[in-house]
Amino acid sequence: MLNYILRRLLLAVPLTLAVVTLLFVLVELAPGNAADKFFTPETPPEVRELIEKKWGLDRPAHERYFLMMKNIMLSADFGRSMVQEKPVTEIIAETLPNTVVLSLVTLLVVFVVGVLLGTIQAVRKYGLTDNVITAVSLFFYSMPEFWLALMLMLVFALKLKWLPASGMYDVVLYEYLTPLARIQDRLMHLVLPGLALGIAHSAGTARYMRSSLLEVVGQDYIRTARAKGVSERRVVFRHAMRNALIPVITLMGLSLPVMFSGSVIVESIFAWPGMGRLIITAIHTQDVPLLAACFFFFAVLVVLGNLLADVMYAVVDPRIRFS
Amino acid sequence: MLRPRPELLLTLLALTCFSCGGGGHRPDAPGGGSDEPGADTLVFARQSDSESLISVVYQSASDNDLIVNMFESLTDSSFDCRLEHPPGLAERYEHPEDGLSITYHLRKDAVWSDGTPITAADVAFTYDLIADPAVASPRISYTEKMLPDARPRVLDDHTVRFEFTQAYDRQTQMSHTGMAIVPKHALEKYDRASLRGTDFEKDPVVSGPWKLHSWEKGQAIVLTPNDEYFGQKPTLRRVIFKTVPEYAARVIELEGNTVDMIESFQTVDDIAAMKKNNPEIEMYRRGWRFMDYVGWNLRNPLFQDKQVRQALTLAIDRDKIINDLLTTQDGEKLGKVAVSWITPELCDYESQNLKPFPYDLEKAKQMLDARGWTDSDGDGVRDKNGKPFRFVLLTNTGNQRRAKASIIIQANLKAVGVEAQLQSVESNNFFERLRKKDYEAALAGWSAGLFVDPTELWHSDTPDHTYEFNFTSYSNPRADELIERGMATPDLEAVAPIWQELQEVIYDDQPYTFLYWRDEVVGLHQRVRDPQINILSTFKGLNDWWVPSSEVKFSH
Amino acid sequence: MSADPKARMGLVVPGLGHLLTGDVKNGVGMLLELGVLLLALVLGLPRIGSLLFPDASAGGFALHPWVALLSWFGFAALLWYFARQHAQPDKNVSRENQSQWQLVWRQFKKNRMGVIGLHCVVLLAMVTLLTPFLAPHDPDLLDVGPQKSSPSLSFLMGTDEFGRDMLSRLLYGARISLSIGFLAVVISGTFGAIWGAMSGYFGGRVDTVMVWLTDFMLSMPRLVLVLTIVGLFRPSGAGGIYLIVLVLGLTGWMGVSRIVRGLVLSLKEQDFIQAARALGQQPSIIILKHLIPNAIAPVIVHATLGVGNTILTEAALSFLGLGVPPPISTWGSIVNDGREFLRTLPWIAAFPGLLIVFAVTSFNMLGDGLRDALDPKLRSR
Repeated sequence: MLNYILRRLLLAVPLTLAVVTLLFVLVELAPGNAADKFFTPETPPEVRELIEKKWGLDRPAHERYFLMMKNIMLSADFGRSMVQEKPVTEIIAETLPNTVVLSLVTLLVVFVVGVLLGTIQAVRKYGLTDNVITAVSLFFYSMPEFWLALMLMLVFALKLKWLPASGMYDVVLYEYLTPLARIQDRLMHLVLPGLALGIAHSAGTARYMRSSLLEVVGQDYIRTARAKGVSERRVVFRHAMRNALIPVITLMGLSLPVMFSGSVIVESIFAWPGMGRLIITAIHTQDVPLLAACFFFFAVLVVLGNLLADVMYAVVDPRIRFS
Repeated sequence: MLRPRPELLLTLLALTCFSCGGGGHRPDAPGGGSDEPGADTLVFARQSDSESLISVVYQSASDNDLIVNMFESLTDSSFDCRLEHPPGLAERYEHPEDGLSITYHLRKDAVWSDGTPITAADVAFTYDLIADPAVASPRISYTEKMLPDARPRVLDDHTVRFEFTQAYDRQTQMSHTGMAIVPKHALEKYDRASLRGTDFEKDPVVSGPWKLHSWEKGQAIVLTPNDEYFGQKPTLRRVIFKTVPEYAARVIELEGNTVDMIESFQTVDDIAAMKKNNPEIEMYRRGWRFMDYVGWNLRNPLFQDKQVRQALTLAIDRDKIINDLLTTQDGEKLGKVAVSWITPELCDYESQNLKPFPYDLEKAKQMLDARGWTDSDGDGVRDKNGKPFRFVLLTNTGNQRRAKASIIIQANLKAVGVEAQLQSVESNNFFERLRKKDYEAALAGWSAGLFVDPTELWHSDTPDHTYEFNFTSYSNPRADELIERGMATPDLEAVAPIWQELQEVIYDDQPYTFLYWRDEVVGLHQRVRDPQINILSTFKGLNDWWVPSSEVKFSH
Repeated sequence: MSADPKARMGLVVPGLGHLLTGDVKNGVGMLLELGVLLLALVLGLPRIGSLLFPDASAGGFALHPWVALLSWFGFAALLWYFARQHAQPDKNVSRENQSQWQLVWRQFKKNRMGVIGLHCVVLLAMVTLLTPFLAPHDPDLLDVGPQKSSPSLSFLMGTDEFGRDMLSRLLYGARISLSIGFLAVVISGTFGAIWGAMSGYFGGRVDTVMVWLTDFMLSMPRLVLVLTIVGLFRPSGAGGIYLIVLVLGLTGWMGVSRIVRGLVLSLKEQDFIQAARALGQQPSIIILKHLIPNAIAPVIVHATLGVGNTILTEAALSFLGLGVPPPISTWGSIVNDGREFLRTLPWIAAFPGLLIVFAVTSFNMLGDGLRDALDPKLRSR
């Protein structure tokens, strides 16, 4: 098992480096120069040269590429942000945990809600409950994320005043709260972004779970179990559930990049200082080193997510053994 | 800057209370206990987080909001018709008639927040950084005319003199020498080439009324009073700058009273809605700061004729744009027809002779007819010598108001047989094309300077200097002469008629169709007293802002 | 059920036949489609002259009304064809003789959601193609009505702050949004199918590399990749829309490629491929003529589901300020325009938002239905 994980991680290394390479190529193909944002028409040529030299832009592209790769591979050094001038890894270290917290909590809720709804649907297949859930799921699944997010904010933060509208914690009161109250405060702030990010995914997961469960239920060993007189509840939860979960877990692993796509929008709306917002800022300010690091770490997260899904696989399905 | 409170205010209240008689004031609180400043916390919602706290290298307005409250300059600034410079770190200064030098005498009691005295060495260090190309300060041009070697002279510990290669506008000189001073002892150990992103910004040594309490990136910056500050100390306990990138979220938070202030309303409708939904929010106007205009590229044969440009202006219904886009539901106008690039806030320079061209379709048609632009082939578009009057009106993406104004302009011009095709490009690209004159007509914006330097904008190119900011390639010998004369006249009274005439000359030539000046409205909770929201800054002088103790919202 | 007189009603009024014989979903769907056709006729006929032959001042030949006119007849023919099919089913064809597609269609018809989705998609296609006849006003004309008026009888979806008719804007916006979705999916479907087929057919090292590249593309969040490319290249003017279509297409092919590769792996061992190989046919011919046609079904399913996804991504791009540049309007950009009026004029953002939901739901329902119909495992039930 450990061997397998290590091998997978080793295989992921070229992948993450290729992601950075892709970004480098894109930046090179794009018009203009990464340092253009520093220049105004009055910028004296000598200052212009100094700035280009400072960011290494005076060298030819291939030299810059190999230098960048060398730094990343040998010392995990992504350079400095061209806007904040801090080491990029420091900036990532501030934001990555926020995105991971938001994604993991959302993923957990998505999994529980999705599996629950999907199971209910499968048990009551073609009934009213099934149809209603299907219709509602489809509705939310088809909704633009930013639209949903804004509506949630209008309803729950402004009209009902149940939940805070933005941020990760209450900026006024947080430093005066007890540790327990702090956790509660942070959880409250997680709800709206989590909902905005998770509703569509729950709907998708429920649809998937439903069809997966229905497929399993049609198989011979379930028929056998039924024929033996095992109760329907036991059939579904003991025999079918486990096998039906396998494709759902794969889906969860694969949905991680989709969730990060969503976080770009949701983090901007709910003022959540995570990777999604960081990458938007990096794109708008053409902050190339920061952008490269964002690409790298997104890829790393996706690889880890897929790996986690594989490991979960083995937990759910004892037939799978990694060698 | 001294504030009227509490002395003046207490006197006023005392007078009113004589007449009201009786009164349940506590004896130990003359003037009414409820009007004592309370230790409240204010929360401001801003679109973007700050990037740097160092005055020498900061780039964005959101950095400036913090810097003006944390770092003192030699002189403070205030605005009333003109930019004034009350004392700051310097208790007095000499600015001789010849306009060739300024001598500042620093206060002796001023100290940094770590107790180190603030001296002339700090001033010299600050300007040394600005002038050093290695630092790549965006304000390096401020030091270009300074002597010797673009740096000030230190006369003694508390006296510093700036000398200039030539006399120029006095206010500009004051502004150039009025940069926020940075602490030499705390900064000199860092590499000059990368001052931003250093540890200094995590716990900066400050000279202003506020110091940094905490800074959670992308989330919130908390300022608390600097106990070592030598001036008026704040009465508020904390001010929090919360980053909320989404505009709708900022409005929702303001309406829900979870933040106390937002910097600007993007639509006039939101102002009326806020007044209705949350009457506790007070609206403050900042003044005419931004102007939008259509620039006609004079290198393009279509626009080389002054009469034609005037006709185009006559055809554009600027009042309609203001009515549609910049008027609230209660009829308050946040826009004003523009006739110049100099803001009307600078009242010294306002010319009484300048009246905006009216919206007059008939006259516009006549003038175009008279210049040979007629619709000879009957396709609805005027033409001359077989060439139709058709051009691309360029603007930048991401600006809803400009996009909307361009729609109205397109419809207006169509009514006189001129076809404007709309195109929008990304902002950087847009300015690049303006600078290279690679456009036909452009709907662009101008943010008003508070001192006048028309050289970059309107001076015609000379063999040894091209003016890239002269987007329309405007050239008029009379204007050149006025600009040169004005720039060599340091005295404000003497320069006013020159600038007035320059505006008249340019308005007659219409290289731009000036559209409108735009005001910004700030929403702030009503419990805050004496906010200084004006054309200079939204967050200036936070040490003067106060909340009566009876209205304190966050007692923490 | 041969020549049922009730079903024959459909020949007069398409849909009525279905409705009377108890097929509610098809009946209602076809009646609605007929309604749109008639509406286009009623609204378009008085203007048809000026639409098809605009005077010179509007500038030359008008393509869109002619397309609309042709598609009107096309849709009418389609409707009556289905009504006739229902009235006189070909009873000579026994189940064994049905082609694969007929089987799929039979299976599909049983899926209620799928059929509803199909009718919604047809309705969308009709509205999109017939826009010049349907739109009550010029979408860009200012002050056709009072400014900022809420939905009313004369302006069904209200007006915006320039007094432009929102309904007309949304109808014209639909063409752009749906075209972007459609074109992007054509690009990603074609590319993905060819990629997957090549990968599966050649196998070995080629396969390893191609699969690795697919995984590589999958390891980046799609929106992030699209945003970065659009953000770096900053498209301007009309070029912007093509760049966005291209980028959306080239970032959405991986799912198709995986499915096609799997199919090809099993197909290529079958006799007819072996035979083609033995005959010395070019690999390109084998892939294009034999493999891809056999894998077309899952590609269509994927493409249908992809249209919805693409529309959503385009809307997200608009929201982040990197969408199709004005003056072109899409549903996404209209929602985005309405964002600043969210508190004051909610309908400006609400209608395009709901339309996006409607369109995406329709495509997803259709796609799900197709998938179920094509899935042999589900066919027995």
